Amino acid sequence: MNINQRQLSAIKNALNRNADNLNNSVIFKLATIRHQALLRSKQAHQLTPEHSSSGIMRLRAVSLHHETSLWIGIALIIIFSVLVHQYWDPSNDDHVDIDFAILTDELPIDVYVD
Amino acid sequence: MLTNHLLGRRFLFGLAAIIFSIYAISATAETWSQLTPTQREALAPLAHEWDTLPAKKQKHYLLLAKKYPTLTPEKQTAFLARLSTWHSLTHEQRQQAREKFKHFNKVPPEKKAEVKRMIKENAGQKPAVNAITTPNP
Repeated sequence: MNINQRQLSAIKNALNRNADNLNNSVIFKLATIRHQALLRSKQAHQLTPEHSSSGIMRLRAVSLHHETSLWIGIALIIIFSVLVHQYWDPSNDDHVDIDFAILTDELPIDVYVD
Repeated sequence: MLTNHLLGRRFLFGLAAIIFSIYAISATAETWSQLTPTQREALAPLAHEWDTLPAKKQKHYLLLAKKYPTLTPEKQTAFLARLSTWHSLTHEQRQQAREKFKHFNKVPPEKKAEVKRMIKENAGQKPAVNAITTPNP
């Protein structure tokens, strides 16, 4: 056993001794906090206690579905925004109408330009 | 927490990739050979420099070309005659022309006809530009 392993062993023994000396109220509080933390963790991964018996696969399936839906939704929003910007630009439409009118007007262009 | 961190980075990378690819696709210019015969007819004055035009400018001219088939043959001739002149103007000159044109179109029809007659009578003389002035701001 080297120095590090001896130190780790000493820390472990000290923790065990102190754990044995904890009074019941502290143990109860620690157990309650641990239980609440576990419940919060399960809720965050959309895993209810009655489904936990189906194991990791159900948790992964739900997470992947959520992730994929999020990416698809974001991609659709971006595509829609770009298409709206490209094909519906009021300022561009105005210029096209006026420019076309100038180019087909009775008067030559230099009448309108200094 | 580590999963959330990795998900965040992958999400940002994916988002950046999607945005970049969409803008790359939408910003692609069209070459002259990709235009339809009607578009090439309408934009013939710009044929020699079409491939060097920015995509946004190309899009603008393609929108103009879309209306070309609706013109009478005389108007089509006028359109083609003026297109390269219009293209050679600076951005400021085009803006000025648009403002003057808008202003002139607000003039009563009789006055407009009189101005047009005056300009045609003086065709070729520089003083014609004084016939239409932009209003003071």
